[in-house]
Amino acid sequence: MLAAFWSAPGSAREFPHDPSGVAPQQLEPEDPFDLRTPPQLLPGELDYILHVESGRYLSQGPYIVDSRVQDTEDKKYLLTTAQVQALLQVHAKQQSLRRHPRDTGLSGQVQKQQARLDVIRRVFEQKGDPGLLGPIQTGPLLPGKANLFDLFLSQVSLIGTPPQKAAMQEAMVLLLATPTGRQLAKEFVRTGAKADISLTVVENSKVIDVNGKKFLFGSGGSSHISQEMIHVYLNEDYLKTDRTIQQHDMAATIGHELLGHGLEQIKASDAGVLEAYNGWYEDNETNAGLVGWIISAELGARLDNRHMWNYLRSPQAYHQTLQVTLPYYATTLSPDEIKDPLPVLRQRLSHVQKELDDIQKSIAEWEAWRPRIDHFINVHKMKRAAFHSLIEDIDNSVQQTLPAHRENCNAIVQHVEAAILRGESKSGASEIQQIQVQFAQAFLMREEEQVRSRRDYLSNLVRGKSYEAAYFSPPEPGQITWDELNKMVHADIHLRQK
Amino acid sequence: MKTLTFVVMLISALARAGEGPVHKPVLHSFGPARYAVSAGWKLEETGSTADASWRFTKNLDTIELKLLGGQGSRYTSPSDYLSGMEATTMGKAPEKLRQVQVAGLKVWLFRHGYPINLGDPHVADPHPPQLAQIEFCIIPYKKNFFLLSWTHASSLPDLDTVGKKAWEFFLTSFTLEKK
Repeated sequence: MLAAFWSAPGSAREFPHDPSGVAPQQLEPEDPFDLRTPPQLLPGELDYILHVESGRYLSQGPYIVDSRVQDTEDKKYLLTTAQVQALLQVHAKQQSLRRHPRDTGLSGQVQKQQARLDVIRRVFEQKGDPGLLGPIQTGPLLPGKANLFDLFLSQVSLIGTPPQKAAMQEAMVLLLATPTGRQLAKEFVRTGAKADISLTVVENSKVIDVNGKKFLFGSGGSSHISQEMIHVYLNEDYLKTDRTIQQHDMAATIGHELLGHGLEQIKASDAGVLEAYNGWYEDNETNAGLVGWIISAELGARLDNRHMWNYLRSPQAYHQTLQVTLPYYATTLSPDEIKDPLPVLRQRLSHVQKELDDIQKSIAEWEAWRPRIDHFINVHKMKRAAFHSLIEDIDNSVQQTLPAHRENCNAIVQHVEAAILRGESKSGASEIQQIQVQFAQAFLMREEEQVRSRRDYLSNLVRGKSYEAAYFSPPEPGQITWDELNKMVHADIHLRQK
Repeated sequence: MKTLTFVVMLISALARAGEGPVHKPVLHSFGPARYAVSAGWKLEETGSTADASWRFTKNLDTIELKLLGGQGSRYTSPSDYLSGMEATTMGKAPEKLRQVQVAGLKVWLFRHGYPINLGDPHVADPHPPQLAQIEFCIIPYKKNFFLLSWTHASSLPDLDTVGKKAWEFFLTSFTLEKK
C-alpha cells in the first residue's frame, strides 16, 4: 500500500532527494521521516498529512516534503520524524475528541501520552506483530542498561509453549505501551524482584460467542508470592477469545496481578508489613483493581468492568459489595477499622446476615412475577412463548445466581464468625496487635494516598465515558420485556379497580 | 406549635398520598428538615461528620436523606454532585424523570442505576450487568443541599409499589423550617 503512495504523482515540483536503498530501522527526532521505518503509518494517516494546510506536505518516495520550504540546503524540506509525530499527535487527538467530545480533564502530558499510545495500539491491533513496534522507546532506565522492555523481561519469565509465550509477549508489549504500565514496570525493575507468568486451566471458565466475537466468561487470573518470587497464572481460555479482547484483557490482567498485587506485595515485604498487606488490608484488592482498570482505560479497551464503575460511584459501596461476595474480603479492613476490629467484624456479620435475608426476599420478588405471567397466559389468553425470556430470567435468578450467592454468603458467615472467635482469644488478640503495629507503619499510609491518587487519575481518564457493553442483546422479536410486563400488570390492576 | 403545624401538614400529606393502606407515619427531624417515614421502616444513621446521612430500609427498599455541601463535604454544590460519578449510571448522566414539588420548591426528580450481583471481581463477565435504580432529588438549603433518594435494590420493577408509595409520601412530608 505504501508503494502505491510512493508511485502516486506528487506535486508538479520535484524536490531533490537521495533516498537510501535501505530503510533505517530506527529514527531519531531530527532524522528525515522515512515511511519504510517501523512502525510505519496507519491507513489514513498519510492522507491526513497530505491534506493539512491545503496540501502543504507532499509524499515523495519514502519521504514527506514541506512544499513551503524553499531552502534546499541540508534537505530542510524533508519533514523530520519529530515534525511527523507532532502532526500525528494532532490527528490522534482529533480522532480521540471525535470519539469523546467532552473534556477529559487530563493534563497535557497525559494527553500526549494517550495520543502516542493510540497510535501504538492501532498499529499493534492492525499488524498483530510486536516486532513491528520496534523497541519500546522509554529511554535508558539505568546507565549502560537495555531499554525497559528488555529489562522487564529479564526479571519476568514467560512460561509456556511458543504460541502461549507469543501471546503473553504481545500482552506485555501493550502493557508497556501504557503510561501506567511503563511507570510500574520501572518500579518493578528497581525492586529487582522476579516473577513468572504462565497460562493455566481455570475452573468454571468458558468462552462464549457473542455476535461473532469470542469473550472470556471466567476468572482472568490469579497470583501468589513465594520466596520473593511472584507467580502469575493467566486463564488459558484467553487464547480462544477474540484477538483484541485477548490482547487488552491479558495486558490488564497482567497489570492487575503482577504490577497491582505482586509489586505491592514485594514492597510490603521489604517494609516488613506483608502479613498485614496480604491478609488484612482491604485496599490490596482496590489497588490491584485500579491498576488493571487504568491500564484498560489507557489502552482504550472497553470500559465494561462493573466493579470499576461501582468503585468510582462509591468506594464505600464497592467495599460493602466485596464484603458479601467472597470470605476473604469480609475480613479485610481499613487502617481506621483495624484499630478496633471486633466491632467492625460483628457489624460485617450482621450485614451478611441481612444480605442472606435480602437474597430470600429477592427470590420471593422474582417468584412473585410467575403468577402475573400466568394470569396473562390463562386469563388474557396470551401466548406462553411471548414470556419465554422473562421466565428464563426468573429461572436463572432463583435457581442459579441467587442460590450461588447464598452459598457464598453462608461461607462468609462461617469465615467471619471464625475470625471473631479467633480475635476474642488470647492468641488472636496478640495476632491483631502485631497487625496493628504493621498497619501503623508509613507504608500503609502511603498506600492509602496512592489509592486515592489512582482513583482521581482513573476518574479523569474515564470522565465523559460510560459503561461499554461487550454486546447489546436486543429483546427477541415477539418477546415481552420487563417494562412492558410491569405496565401490563398496572394497567390490568387499574382496569379491575374500575 | 411548630410540631402541631407539622402534624397537621402530615395528615394532609397522608391524605394526598392517596393509594394503598395508610400507615402511621413516624416523624423525624434533622436541623431545619422535617419529614416522615411510614411505620415499619428501620432507621440507620450512616455517612460521615461532613456528609451526614439517615437511611430508612424495608425489604429491598431504602429511603435516604443526606446533607451535603458543608465544610469537608465530598460535594461543594448540587451541580458538583450531578456531574460526579455517584449520580451516573456507570458513567452515563442521570435521567430526568419529572418535576416535583418538595418543601415548596419545584425540583427535578432524577433516576440513575447501579450494578448489582457483581460477583468475584476477578471474573470477566461479558453479559450486561443487572442494574438497580435510584430516584433522587436535590433540595438546596443555604450553602448546603439535601439529597433525597429512594433505592429499590433489584433489577426488577417494583411490583408491589410499597417503596414507591413510601418515597412519594416522604417527599410530600419533607419540609424545611424557615429561620
